[in-house]
Amino acid sequence: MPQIVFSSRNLNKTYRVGSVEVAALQGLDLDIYQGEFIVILGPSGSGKSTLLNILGGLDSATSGAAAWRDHNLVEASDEELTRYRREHVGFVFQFYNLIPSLTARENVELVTDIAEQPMRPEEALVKLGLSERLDHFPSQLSGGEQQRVAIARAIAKRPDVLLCDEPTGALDCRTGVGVLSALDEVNRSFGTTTVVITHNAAIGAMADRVMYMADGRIARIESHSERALPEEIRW
Amino acid sequence: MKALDRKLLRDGRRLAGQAVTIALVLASGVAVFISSLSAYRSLVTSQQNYYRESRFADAFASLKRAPLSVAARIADIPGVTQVEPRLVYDVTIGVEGVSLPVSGRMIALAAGDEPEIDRLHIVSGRGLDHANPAEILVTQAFAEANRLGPGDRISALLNGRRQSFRIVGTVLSPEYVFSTGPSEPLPDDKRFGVFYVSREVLAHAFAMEGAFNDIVLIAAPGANMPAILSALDLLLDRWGGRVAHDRNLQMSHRFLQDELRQQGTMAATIPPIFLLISAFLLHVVMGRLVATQREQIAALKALGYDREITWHFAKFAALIVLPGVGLGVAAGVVLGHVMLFSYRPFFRFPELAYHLPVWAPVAATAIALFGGLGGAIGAVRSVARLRPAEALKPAAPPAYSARFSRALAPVPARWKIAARGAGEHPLRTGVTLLGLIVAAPLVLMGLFWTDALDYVVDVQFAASERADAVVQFVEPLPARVVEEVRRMPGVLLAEPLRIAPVRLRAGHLEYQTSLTGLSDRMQLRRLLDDRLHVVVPPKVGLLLSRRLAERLRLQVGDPVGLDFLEGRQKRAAVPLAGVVNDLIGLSAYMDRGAMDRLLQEDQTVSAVAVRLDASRADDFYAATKKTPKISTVSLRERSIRNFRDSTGAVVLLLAGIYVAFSITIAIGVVYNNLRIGFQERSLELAMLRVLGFTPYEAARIFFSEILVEVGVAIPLGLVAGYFLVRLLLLAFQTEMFEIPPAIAPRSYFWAASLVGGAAVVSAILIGRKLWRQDLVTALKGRE
Ligand SMILES: Nc1ncnc2c1ncn2[C@@H]1O[C@H](COP(=O)(O)OP(=O)(O)OP(=O)(O)O)[C@@H](O)[C@H]1O
Ligand SMILES: [Mg+2]
Repeated sequence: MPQIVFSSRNLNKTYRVGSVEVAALQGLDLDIYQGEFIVILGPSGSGKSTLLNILGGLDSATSGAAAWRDHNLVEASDEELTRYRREHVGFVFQFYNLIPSLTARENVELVTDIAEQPMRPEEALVKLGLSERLDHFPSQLSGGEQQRVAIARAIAKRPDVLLCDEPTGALDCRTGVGVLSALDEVNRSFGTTTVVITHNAAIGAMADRVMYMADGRIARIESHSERALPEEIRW
Repeated sequence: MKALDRKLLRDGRRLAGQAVTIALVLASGVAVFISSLSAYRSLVTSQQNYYRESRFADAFASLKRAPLSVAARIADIPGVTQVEPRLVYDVTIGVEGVSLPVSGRMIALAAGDEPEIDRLHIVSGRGLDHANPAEILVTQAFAEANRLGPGDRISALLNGRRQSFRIVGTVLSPEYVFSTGPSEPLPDDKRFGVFYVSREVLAHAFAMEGAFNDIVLIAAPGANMPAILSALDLLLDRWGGRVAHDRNLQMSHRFLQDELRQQGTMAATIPPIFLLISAFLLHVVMGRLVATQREQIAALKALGYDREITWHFAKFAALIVLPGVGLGVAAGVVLGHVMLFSYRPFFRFPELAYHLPVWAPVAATAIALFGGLGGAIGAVRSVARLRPAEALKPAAPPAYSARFSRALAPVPARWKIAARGAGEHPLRTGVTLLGLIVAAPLVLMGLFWTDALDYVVDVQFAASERADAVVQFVEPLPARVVEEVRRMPGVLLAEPLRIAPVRLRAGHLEYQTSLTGLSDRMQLRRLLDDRLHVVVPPKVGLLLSRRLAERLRLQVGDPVGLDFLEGRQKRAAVPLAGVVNDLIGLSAYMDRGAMDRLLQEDQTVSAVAVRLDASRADDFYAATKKTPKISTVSLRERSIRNFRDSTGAVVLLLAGIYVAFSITIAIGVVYNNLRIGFQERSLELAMLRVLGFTPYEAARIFFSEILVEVGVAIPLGLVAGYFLVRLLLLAFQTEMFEIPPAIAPRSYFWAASLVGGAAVVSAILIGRKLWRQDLVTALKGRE
């Protein structure tokens, strides 16, 4: 049995809006194993992004326990969370969020400059099939290419976990598949634990496990013994 | 409430810090504008009212002695509506407990009791009882400076006889709003006063029964003044008349006009600059604020909103502009009152009534609204021009040039962000730079006045007029009097001067001033050229103050007509030998020997410049008082103090106000520029934090660009300030003064520190925001 890297127990996140409390996560329990590829599905507002943000140290929970290995993510200070993100986490978002004034290579350098044992930026970009686009600015790249730069930026520091919030949300099927195979490739070759949020149930086929969220909880988990290849996925 | 209006309120609250600082910048601009303008208008109105109510004379003449029947003939000159013959004598005054030499002008009517022209306004006590020759009125300024009031006694040396008087009242006269002693360039209320006594006193002391030696007159509106003056000269010629003159040569009026002109220039130049700069900043800041909402504007457009969007942002701008203007006008009115109140000791009018011209707040509001709404609406327009689909995407980053990229290759990523951010957003960078650049000149514009006054004192009083005291005689005396002065107690060095009133003529231009004859190798009075080198008067020809030579349109070598206005009234023509750099006054200079020859005199002396042993100064003053042939003693120390107290004090008051406001504006400008820069980059900064950058590292990237901008803006601002000050001073030259564009290094230092300091404070405020930035919200919201 592989090791558990993420675990949470009775995790709660409540937002206070005026006098109303919105519970985004309600007593969520979760275990994620080393090297797993997880897809999270669920209706809008079910708490997917909230969960991912807490796992990635972007946000902190209201109560309960959440840990990455021996890092307590609930009680960590801002400095500890920054260090955690810097050393262990790679993020990919729906809207790429590249720095517009830096080229593809430089966007990746931004991370390798502060990481401990990074890849060379070119290596990461070549891995994502961007060898011809190293010195292009984000405005000179297509959406799919920008997203691949974002992934290259996320993996260049050899993170332990890769957290992706709707990485194909803004892309068409073919481009999306390209991005997914990049994620799959990273997961397989580096053993990077990967969590992908999506609204696209078809993507679940390429995961080790699919978690269905509803009302701030994991409602159901589906395990696959066999992972589909990204190229086989259509939507 | 409509949804859009709710957005308005929330945006207002979210941007409160910015809204307040922008409003303050605007309020500062408006306040300076309103206060300077209203204080100036109040002065002018008060002057006009006072001149009218007190019936200030239109023409003035003095003479040796004429029978009263001559006054009747003067009254018959066409255009003259009323005349008032008087007895006027400059005398030495004794005030209990005052060791400084004091001189005074004694005035009495030659006929009648109460003046009908140049009426007196009684401030305290009462008017004269003409049956009592021991009663005297003193000017309020002199009374205050010497702490005198009704009941106190003073004495005067009248024609060699000391006479004692009891003060019964203190008065103001339109003739002596500023009272300047004979041949002194500046008023000194402690050492020169004007006194009014009954006719009997002067008529008796100077044997002038049935006669007069001074006359003032009022002319009909639109009368031909030059004709009246030449008729006067003609009539008075055989009575020893000195050239008659109109208000333009009346000392108090001339000084007052100069002061008012200076106030007027100050009100007409600096405050509009403040107002325009703050309106411009408003324009820029509003534009950028709106631009940060481009996606919202696009979304609204996509929803079918159109005109409402413009209207919405116009309201948003008005929400900031109107309170700013309101605050500015209110502060301006209060400040205007304060300024007017502090003018009281300088401008001695019976009443200084506050007067705010209606157009001033209207103009200020219009300019501010124009700036604010213009900026906001312009930005909305430029977003609205885009197709919604285009605008919904974040603004397309500019196309970065490949060459620039290669050049930057070895540079660390954070400097790349800074350099590209600055270099490739020329508009954004330009606007930030401009905002930062204007801050320094504003500060310099307020600070440099002190430097200028220090410079004047240094040049005029330390390098040029170096005598501790100048003794003037009742009439020109033979040269041996110099020896007498040298033997007076405390005198270390005594050097003779020959001073004579003259009229200079050059073509149809003429100017009345005094001609000073300087001896060879004089130490106590030196003339300086533009580079502050000593100029020695040549054996032939005349030296003039540069401004006087310009005024008479004279070039070196041109002949100058010279009419002496005393003694035998000689006339001569001499070449202009050169110009000198007098900062105060317009004067003429000659070699004393050459002047002697022109006047056909032998070594005559009208004044002696002395260097004193400071510890024995009081003995010296006492000795001068006992010497009847000495009419006045002027003291350098007092001159400096007078200069600082008169021009200096008024100018510095204004300058202080300007500095305070320029600091507000500088801080507002810098803060807003940085704040908007932060807003424009908030998504980028949040992204850096997500990537694992510490707040400190993210701040370094953000502030690198700011650092470059501030580093470029400060030196540029100082250079701009230098030129602005020069430009400003062109407008400031008056007849009596020239303000040199001497900005001390210390002022540059302060201006730079202030802008730098404002940047640091803003950086700290914004840094705190950066520290507290909520990543999830920033990534989601793209605010
Ligand atoms: N800052 C916030 N303040 C208040 N409520 C919030 C905030 N952020 C999220 N929520 C609420 O928390 C719940 C979960 O939000 P979350 O963003 O995790 O949903 P999600 O599953 O990612 O939805 P989607 O698929 O639409 O992205 C929602 O009901 C949302 O309204
Ligand atoms: Mg989500």
